[in-house]
Amino acid sequence: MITPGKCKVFALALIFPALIGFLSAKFMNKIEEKSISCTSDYISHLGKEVLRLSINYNMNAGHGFVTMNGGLYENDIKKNDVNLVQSFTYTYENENFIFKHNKNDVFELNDSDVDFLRPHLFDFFIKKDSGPHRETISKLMPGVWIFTISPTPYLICTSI
Amino acid sequence: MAIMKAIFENAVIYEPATHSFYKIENEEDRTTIAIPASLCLLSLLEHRDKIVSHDMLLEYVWESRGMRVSPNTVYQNISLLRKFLADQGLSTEFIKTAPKRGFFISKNININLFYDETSSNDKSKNLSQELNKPIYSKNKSSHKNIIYYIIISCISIIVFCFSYMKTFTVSSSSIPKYTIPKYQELERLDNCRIFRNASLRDDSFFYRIIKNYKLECKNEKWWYFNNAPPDHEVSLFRCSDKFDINAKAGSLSCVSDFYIDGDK
Repeated sequence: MITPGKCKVFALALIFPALIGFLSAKFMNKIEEKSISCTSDYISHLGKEVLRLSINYNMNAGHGFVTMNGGLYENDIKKNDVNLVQSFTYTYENENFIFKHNKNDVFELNDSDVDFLRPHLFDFFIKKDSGPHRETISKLMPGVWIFTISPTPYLICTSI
Repeated sequence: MAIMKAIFENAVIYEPATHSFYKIENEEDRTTIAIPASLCLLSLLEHRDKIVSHDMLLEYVWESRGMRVSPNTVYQNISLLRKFLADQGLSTEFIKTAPKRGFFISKNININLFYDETSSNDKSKNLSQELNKPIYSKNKSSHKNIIYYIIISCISIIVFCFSYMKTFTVSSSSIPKYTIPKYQELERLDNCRIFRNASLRDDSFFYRIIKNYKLECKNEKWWYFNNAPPDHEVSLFRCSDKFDINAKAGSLSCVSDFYIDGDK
């Protein structure tokens, strides 16, 4: 026989797990979906200069780092080696990722070391006192992200 | 001779042997009463025209079975008995109190007693085992409670899983999906298919880039040019396969070229 007490228990058995499930999923989404781990072959062309880089992004739960390895070429002759590691914190606002430098990180590059990179890379990755960097990252397909600096997408990064 | 049956007010039947009550017209629907209260009532019936003292009840119900209880236990059982009888539709004055002397059944109650001539005047068996039963025992099975809790648990788990999966799936697009722009195909270069995003930019713009930078068709057969006039910056994605949002993970590899000066 269904009593008022049993009705209350059934109602709680429906409402409470639904609420917990909803909140848990939202929490997991917050953690998981902002996570990116990918690699990209990137080539920047400026006149006769060609910057060839292998770029790796690792971003998870608000903390990330990017590595860039490769070299600068002119007329197919290597002029400079590039080995950058940049850690950052990030937030997600209005469909944009906002990268900020970690205050406590030691930035090992001097300005003179990276002058040649300025035409090719954003200041955020080569200057320690640069402000926040805004990046639009979209998902092309599972495991493939496209980075855009409006209005042109410039980097395809695929999961490692 | 033992009382086999008692009929109260020609409406309710009491069976001392089973400690149960039922309406005269519905023998199937029985309610049992706890043994102590039942024996209290039996004692009062056996001494119908007399006052039964507290000590008599203590001795009759408990001490004869080797149990020592406080005098308050008698009052508690009489109180519960009165409530039970009232719930059966009988008068609240069924059992009366003789102050400092004991209890008796009101003479205003119509009672018919039936005796069992063959049985000994023995109380119910296994009294001590049943003294802890609640007054209103309706033979609830503990199995039913277990099944009830299992059902509730299963419902909770199913609801949680459904809610979690639904929310996770719906809101899994927190990194927005890339809106693939409309691409127009250019002339093929060897085996490479070349596309440019639809814009006011003339096709010759992209052909100049191919020419100026001496682009060649190699491993990546699907090329996608992106430019937003009036900017001259151009990106070129050279990919192993065409853009397909429904493709499996890991099926696409690309090289990203960025021409800072565009076609210059």
